[in-house]
Amino acid sequence: MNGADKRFAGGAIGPVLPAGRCGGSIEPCFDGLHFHPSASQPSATEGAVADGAVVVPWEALRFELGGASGRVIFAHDDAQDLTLFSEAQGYWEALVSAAHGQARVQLDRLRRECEVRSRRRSWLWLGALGGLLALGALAYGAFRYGAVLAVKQLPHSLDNELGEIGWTQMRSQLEVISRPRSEEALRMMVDRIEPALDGGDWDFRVTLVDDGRINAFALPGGRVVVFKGLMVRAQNAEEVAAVMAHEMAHVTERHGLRRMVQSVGIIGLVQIFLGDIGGLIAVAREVLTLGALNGYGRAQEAEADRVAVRALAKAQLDPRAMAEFFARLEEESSKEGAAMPAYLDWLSTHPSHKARINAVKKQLQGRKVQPRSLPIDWKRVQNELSPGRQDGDREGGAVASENHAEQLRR
Amino acid sequence: MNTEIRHRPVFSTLFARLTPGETLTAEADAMASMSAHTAMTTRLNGGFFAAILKRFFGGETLFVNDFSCEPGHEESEVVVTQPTPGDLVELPLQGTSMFLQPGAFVACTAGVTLGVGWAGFRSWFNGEGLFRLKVSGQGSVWIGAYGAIVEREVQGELVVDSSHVVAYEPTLKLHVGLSGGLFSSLLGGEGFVSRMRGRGKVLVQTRSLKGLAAWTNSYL
Repeated sequence: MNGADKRFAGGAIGPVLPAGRCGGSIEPCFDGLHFHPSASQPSATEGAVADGAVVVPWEALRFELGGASGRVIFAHDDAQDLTLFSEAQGYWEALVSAAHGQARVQLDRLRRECEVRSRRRSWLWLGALGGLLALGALAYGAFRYGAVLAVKQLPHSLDNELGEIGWTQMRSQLEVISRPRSEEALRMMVDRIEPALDGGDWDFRVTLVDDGRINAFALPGGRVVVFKGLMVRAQNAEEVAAVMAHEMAHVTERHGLRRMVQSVGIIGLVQIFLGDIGGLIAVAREVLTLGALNGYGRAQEAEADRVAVRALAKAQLDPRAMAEFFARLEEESSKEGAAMPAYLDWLSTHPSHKARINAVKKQLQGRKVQPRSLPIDWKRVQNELSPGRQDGDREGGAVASENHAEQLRR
Repeated sequence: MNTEIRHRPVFSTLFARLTPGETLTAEADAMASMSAHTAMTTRLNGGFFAAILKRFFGGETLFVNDFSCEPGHEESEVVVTQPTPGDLVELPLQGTSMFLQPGAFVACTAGVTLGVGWAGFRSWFNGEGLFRLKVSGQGSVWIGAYGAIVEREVQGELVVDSSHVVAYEPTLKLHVGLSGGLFSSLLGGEGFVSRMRGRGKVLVQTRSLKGLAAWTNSYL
């Protein structure tokens, strides 16, 4: 476009031009399109006017869209075999405002066609995008499923090693305590549950830590860490056994390793690509610690619940203790106000307990369980851990075990 | 500038006589010989990013060389050629533009702008990249090809085998499609073809490097 500000950069093709074509500018005027060849061009056409411009009247023009970009506007004068073209910005608007008669009608039709085409193209792009997203989701699903399959092929020793890496990282923040009676009780639970879990051979070790929060977690390989708070606040041994079964299910289902393979997958590939193995171990440590402390994610927690309920029933331990434990913890938490009290860690890090209670109940429907109680004097265990609360809790504890006994009778 | 293309069409070589003030820009490594008093300056092919774009998407070299006659001399000669056997043609640009296939650019006079233009997804599906070298302005461009070069004026549609297109005007739209039906296209060995639609000039090479590579490959 030059000084006249109604001239648009373009060109012309036709045998009437000296070399068959030349660049220049196009000016839409009242009488038609004026083509001004660029300065060095000699004018040599019949329609040339004083300043060397070629004038094509509106009624002689046929418009078309095309070119490599698809946005070139062609104006053909078929009688002279001359084509003027431009894709300059604002050219279309200038054409529309200057054109009249059949030229205007043609331009309007072109615009409509263009709109239809662009709409079709948007749908096409949208479809392509949708397809791409679906493909991505499919790849993600395949990756997740692949991770489960891959983990099944890995040796148990790898879980052990990773569990120990995680444990060395965490033990500095926890105070490990030794209480023979409690450990004996937990050992009994493990011995009852272990044969009922069909997840292969695992070396389960129970570690007791001096922490008032109601919490427990499992590390890959078989280490189950139980917080003192859980033992002290549980109404009976079966409730703790239910939590133990859940944690042991994390071990047999190899959730730690699965989570690691899933999370480290992409990062791991990049790390290996960069030759940074140290970074990979650091990432593994982070993922494991987070997984153990913050729960393994909704799907894995639900799976651990399912496996635990099945194992408890098989081990003749009352699976309802799990639902009861959830329910009581929730009641306790709502009693404390809207905010979750800090000591209810095990609940707060696990997803929607209402849904979990329902899931447990649903799983137990139609299933007959004949519980055989654990030969544990739970009061003495609690006494060993927390001698101070003996009196205050005796009553509640007695009531609870009565309740429980009644439930068992039912 | 006096130029002449000799030894056509197989070993075409451009002989350019430069008088002081004239410049010939050629692709790096295109110079075969030059008079002793020819000044040569190397520069990036456009700006830094433009050069990189041209290198990776336009199939051109990262650097170009400017040849000019040293002051105090009447004339100097530069001989420029292309790596493959084949024809060279001079393309006069009169404010018009031309899209070049990767590797087609050999040399140009001052006044010609080398740019990279969006070639579109069609070209990409055709295996010819998303971008294409675009020459525009006033002056001459020399384009090299493998085999001889046939110039065609398209008005309507022309079907060209994809690997035979050397250059075309931006007034032509490139449609990629099968040469015939699905079976005849695959069994007939024509596969995909470019349908050039619109009005403008297209340069077609009579041989294709892809064809040579496939033919050579069958003996390896």
